[in-house]
Amino acid sequence: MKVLNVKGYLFVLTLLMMGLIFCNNCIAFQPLAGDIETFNPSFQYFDEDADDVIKIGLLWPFSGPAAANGAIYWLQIGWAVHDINTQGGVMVDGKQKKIVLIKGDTQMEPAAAKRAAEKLCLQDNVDIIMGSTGSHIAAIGQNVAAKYKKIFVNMASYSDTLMDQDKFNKYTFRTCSTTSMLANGLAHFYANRPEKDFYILCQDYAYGHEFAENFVQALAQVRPDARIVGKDFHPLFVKDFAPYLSKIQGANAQVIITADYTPDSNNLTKQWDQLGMTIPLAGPFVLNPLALQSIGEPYGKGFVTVQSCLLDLDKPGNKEFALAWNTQWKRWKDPLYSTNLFQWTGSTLAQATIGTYWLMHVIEKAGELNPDKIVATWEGDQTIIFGNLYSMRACDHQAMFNMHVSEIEWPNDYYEKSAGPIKVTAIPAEKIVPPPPKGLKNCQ
Amino acid sequence: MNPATAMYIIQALHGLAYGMLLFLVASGLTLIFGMVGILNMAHASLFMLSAYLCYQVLAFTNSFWMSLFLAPLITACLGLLLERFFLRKVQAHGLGHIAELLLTMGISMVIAESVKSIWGTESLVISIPPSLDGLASFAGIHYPIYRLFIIGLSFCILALLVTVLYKTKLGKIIRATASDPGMVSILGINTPKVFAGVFALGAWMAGVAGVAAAPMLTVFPGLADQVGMDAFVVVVVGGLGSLLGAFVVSLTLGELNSFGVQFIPKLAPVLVFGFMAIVLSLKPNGFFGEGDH
Amino acid sequence: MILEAQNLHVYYGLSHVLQGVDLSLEEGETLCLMGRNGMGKSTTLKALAGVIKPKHGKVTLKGRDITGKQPHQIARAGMGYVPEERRVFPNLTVIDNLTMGAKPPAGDGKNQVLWDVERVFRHFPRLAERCNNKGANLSGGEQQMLAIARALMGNPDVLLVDEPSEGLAPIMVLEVRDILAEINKSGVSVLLVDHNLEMAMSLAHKVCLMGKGRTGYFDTAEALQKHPEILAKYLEV
Repeated sequence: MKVLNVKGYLFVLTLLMMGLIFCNNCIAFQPLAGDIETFNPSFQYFDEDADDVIKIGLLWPFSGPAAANGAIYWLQIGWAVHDINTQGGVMVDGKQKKIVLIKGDTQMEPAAAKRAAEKLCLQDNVDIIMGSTGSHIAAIGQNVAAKYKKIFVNMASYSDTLMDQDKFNKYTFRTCSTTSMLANGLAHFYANRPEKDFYILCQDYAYGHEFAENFVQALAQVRPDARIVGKDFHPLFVKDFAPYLSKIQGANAQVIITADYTPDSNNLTKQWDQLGMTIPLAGPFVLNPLALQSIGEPYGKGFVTVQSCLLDLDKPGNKEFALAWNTQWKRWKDPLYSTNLFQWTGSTLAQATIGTYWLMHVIEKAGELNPDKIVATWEGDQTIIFGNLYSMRACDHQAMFNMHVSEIEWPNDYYEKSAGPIKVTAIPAEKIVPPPPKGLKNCQ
Repeated sequence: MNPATAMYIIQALHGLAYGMLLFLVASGLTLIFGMVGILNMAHASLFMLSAYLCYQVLAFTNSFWMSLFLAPLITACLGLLLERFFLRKVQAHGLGHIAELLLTMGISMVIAESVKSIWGTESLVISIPPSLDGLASFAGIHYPIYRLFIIGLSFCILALLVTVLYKTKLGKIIRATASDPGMVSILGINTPKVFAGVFALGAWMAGVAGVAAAPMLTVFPGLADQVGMDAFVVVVVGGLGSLLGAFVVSLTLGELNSFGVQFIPKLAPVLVFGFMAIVLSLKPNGFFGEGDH
Repeated sequence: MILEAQNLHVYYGLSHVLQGVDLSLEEGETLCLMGRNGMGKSTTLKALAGVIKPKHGKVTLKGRDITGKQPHQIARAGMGYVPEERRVFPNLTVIDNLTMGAKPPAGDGKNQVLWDVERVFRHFPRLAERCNNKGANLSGGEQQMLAIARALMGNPDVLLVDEPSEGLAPIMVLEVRDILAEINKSGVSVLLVDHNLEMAMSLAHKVCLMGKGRTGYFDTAEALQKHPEILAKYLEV
């Protein structure tokens, strides 16, 4: 009997332990399990002086001419944070901690960005910094963060060189794609397509050239018979693209490859339509529902977009996220967020949300906010978010994931007056992620 | 038609469309300079403001023609108020051109910030009115109707301006005031009113340009800097105060840009400034500038 | 009394240029204001036309107080002013110079001859010939005529003319003199400032002599001619 009793105790103890592990899991947050219905990006308030919270500094332009860009990230990151906080927070140091966001306004200017980053580290004493649009700004952010041994998560800056042997530091991680991943993804899409003659029109600075070079190289590999019939690099903020477009028409191109972003991408789309062009635009930022709405029917049908995450209702995970987002969007009355631009997820409107979920999973796995512990946990980590697998390459801290390309269609179920991605092609990560920088010690 | 020839004609038309739009902005600027002797730094901001007003009127009335009528009118009234309550006050204190320059710069910043706080920093969606949408075909060339409309509209306003300036008593008064305002007032003409009128006229033309540009270009807070820079080049290279100079240089810039992109795309962005450097080194007062301003 | 100035004081910065000027011009007369250089003759005309503001004193035109009014208001009240520098608009043609400031008489104009382009051209045949020339391309004499003619187009009751004979060839001086006489005859009262004694005396009904910012001697031209010593006192250097 006594023996049995001991066995019984052991059994109960095992059950208890299993329950504890199980319970740990049930405390852990799950994306979209929070009270998302109460999320409104225009009304997000955080107690910056609260104790026992996870403080995250956001390094984006929140004022000045690029303030709209900061607003987009405030929305994306705010979504994930609200979702997690309404589930109780993140399990760290044995208790659930809520997340507090603190704005660091870069104004898109290096000097202001440096001041903002220093303030986040020294005065606000944040645990983690997220950033930053503009590679010159991101570079400042990751340097300041490393100086104070803070984790810097790059969620918005694509330049490949940000993580090369000269700029890499162990506290910086990049969860968004690189320029080369976007360019390679687009090139692979054309491997099995009828189009052969490409014209490249990009902005005349490092990013545009980087994109063009990667696209040409990748295309030469997957489609040896393809031709680049012309290549133009235009200055930033072109008023009138008509001369470029007429030139392209004269060159008999079948696709216009462009890495342009707003306002250039919008202007390009608009003037493309004015000239009655039929050669489709292809690039990361051609799917802008506002710009496509302005050009009238068929609203950019036939354009090709490439992004790390695209709206895709056929994909489990992605579908739930998209539907929840769209339901919420209908409640946002602030003109800043009520336009069609924010109607659905995908394109740039997801990558920082995903990055935030991922980071919080990693913190929960690490179980503490010690930066070195987080670095060790994140290196090599693999997490599935909204149906996509994200893995962190250990040696250079570059996220690896599939790229998504779609020829956008109209009419569709998403937008009344814009083409949207109906059929999404996934380009596997191993085909498009660039090899780690050779000069980096860890990568040899 | 030979496709190459057709393309050159189309490029020339592109240059003409942008050049004429630029002329609409620059002519108001040069007209005001000729009268008041200052470069109105807020001029391009009025142009941008009118593009935003075009968006707003469109949102209320859904009529492009209504916004083409209303937005420049509102812009002109604003110009009138700026002249009456700010510029004239500064002039009355005799603080000199530097003070006027600073004042107009300040006004341009206020307009830029107001635009951002009212309409946000994203680019706005303004479609081409259905009646002007589509392509016109002639001699085997297809060209957007809206751009032809801009060319036509600009020529109409040029004709109107030339008629007013050279065929009416008001125009004679304006031209006389530009050369000797003191004498004009001795002849019994209320010159402050003439100044205000010219300021309003200049603002109105910037307003028309703003509405015309709204569906063709992108309406965003950087629009003023984008077009303003070119307009300043036009006014300086054409000769401060010279309408003919503004016309010639606007068209030259438009064509330089078009054919620059066609033939030497790498140099296209610097062509404008190269042109400016060459002209100013040969003729420091600009093409049609008189030495005494 | 069509034009009257009482105790005008004008300062240029700290320098007290007019130190009490009294003038009166009867309707239909020509009054000639004379004095050595720097005595304030031109300044007096500018003060009357409103181009500079007197610090003290009073100016009345046809009984109306016009002190401190804007130049264009004074012009509309019936004052014409031909400045010493003539200030023809160089970028406008002769005809445009004339028509741009044209206006009807300030009052009912009953007793006045109406000046229009046709009448001006009859009096200034030289201008008619050069009708489409730019102001900048006229000779000195032609510019002087244009300046006078332009002032007439405003149909003034009083015409202030500053140094019309300056820098002109003798033959032109005579022409200008004849025109001023005709203008006066047509009913316009004239206040003339000129160095040319001969011309001034032949035109003037009355003469006013100025010294050091003040008006001194004031009488008819005939009376003055009997007292050459007074003329010498005011005019000889």
